[in-house]
Amino acid sequence: MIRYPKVFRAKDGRVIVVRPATSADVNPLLEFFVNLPEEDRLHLRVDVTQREVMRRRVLSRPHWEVVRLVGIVGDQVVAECSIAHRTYGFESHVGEVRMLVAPDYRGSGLATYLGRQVFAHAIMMDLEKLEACMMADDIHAIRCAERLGFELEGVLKDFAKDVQGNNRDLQIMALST
Amino acid sequence: MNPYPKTVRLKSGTEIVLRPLCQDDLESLHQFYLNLPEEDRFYLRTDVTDPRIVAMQMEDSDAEERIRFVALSDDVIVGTAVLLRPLHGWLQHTGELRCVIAHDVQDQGLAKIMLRELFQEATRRGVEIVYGKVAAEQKVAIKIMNEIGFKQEALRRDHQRTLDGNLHDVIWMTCSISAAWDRLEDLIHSMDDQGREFPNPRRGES
Repeated sequence: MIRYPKVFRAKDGRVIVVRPATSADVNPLLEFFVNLPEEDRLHLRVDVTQREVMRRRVLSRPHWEVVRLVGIVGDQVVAECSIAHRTYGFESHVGEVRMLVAPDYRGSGLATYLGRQVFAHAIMMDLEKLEACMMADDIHAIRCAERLGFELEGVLKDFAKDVQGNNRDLQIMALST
Repeated sequence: MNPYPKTVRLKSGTEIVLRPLCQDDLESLHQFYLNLPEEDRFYLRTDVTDPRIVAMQMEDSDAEERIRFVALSDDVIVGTAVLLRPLHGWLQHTGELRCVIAHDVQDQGLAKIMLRELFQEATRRGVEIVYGKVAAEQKVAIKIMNEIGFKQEALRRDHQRTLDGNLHDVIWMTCSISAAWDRLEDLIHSMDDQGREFPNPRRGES
């Protein structure tokens, strides 16, 4: 059992409360997503401005176990980090890590902190491998994953399409727990 | 016009009916999986002998679309092929392929014929890239995929747990659907005219 809420103190002294997301966080999460800068949205897996799609993603994922942490400042979400795995099948030992941090909080150590928190959940969920996918030119996401110990498993050519419809290479990184 | 069911003939002369999977197939699909030899079930992604898992796999999801075909010989399922396509997000134009063929009709081009059907449906839905996940030890599957034009793009370490509990490396192979389509047509036509469609008297009923 991991106790929450936790308090993360950024390098510059700002304080972020970290805790699991609840259904009350859906609207603040949607606000967080739509306020991300355009260049971030080009690197994301879904069009986060499609509120209904995002609402469904946040609220339910049948046959998946999901732990979703949020970083909160005041009443605003400034970061989201989740770990999810399918509850049956040959990949059920693999957890997928996703992370989004608001531009103002990048470089503060928050992403690394959130990553370590979900690692603790991964151990409790009995996961043996973690994976993270990002567009191959998303340098920030790649550096963050590398800092957390993820290594390259492959680059899939033109495998992802950004919200403008451009084909992009998809990078897959993984880490054994 | 709905083109299914379609009838094709394999190398051996066996007539095969191809059509999309429907809810009524649940029991016969389960029976098909039960009849697979253990070595054929070994690398499948789920324990398909569990009817709850088979039912779960047939469930529709609002996150992904499953285009599913079955091949029948004398009304018995002898093959399944599935293409999974996310309905939202950055991989909407991709589809994951899965194909299982009964032992008795293997090596007769049925997998290629079923993939051709899937590609046709997938193209209509805007899929541009198809991919498959194969255990590194599945040399035959890798050879077939190479023939069709798939290339290895990722080696996933310890990514698959088989029914015996062991972990295996998995190769992700991808191919543009247009390139795969051309290769498949060539391969199917080079099979001495086998796999060619011929008129199906029942088609008018569908």
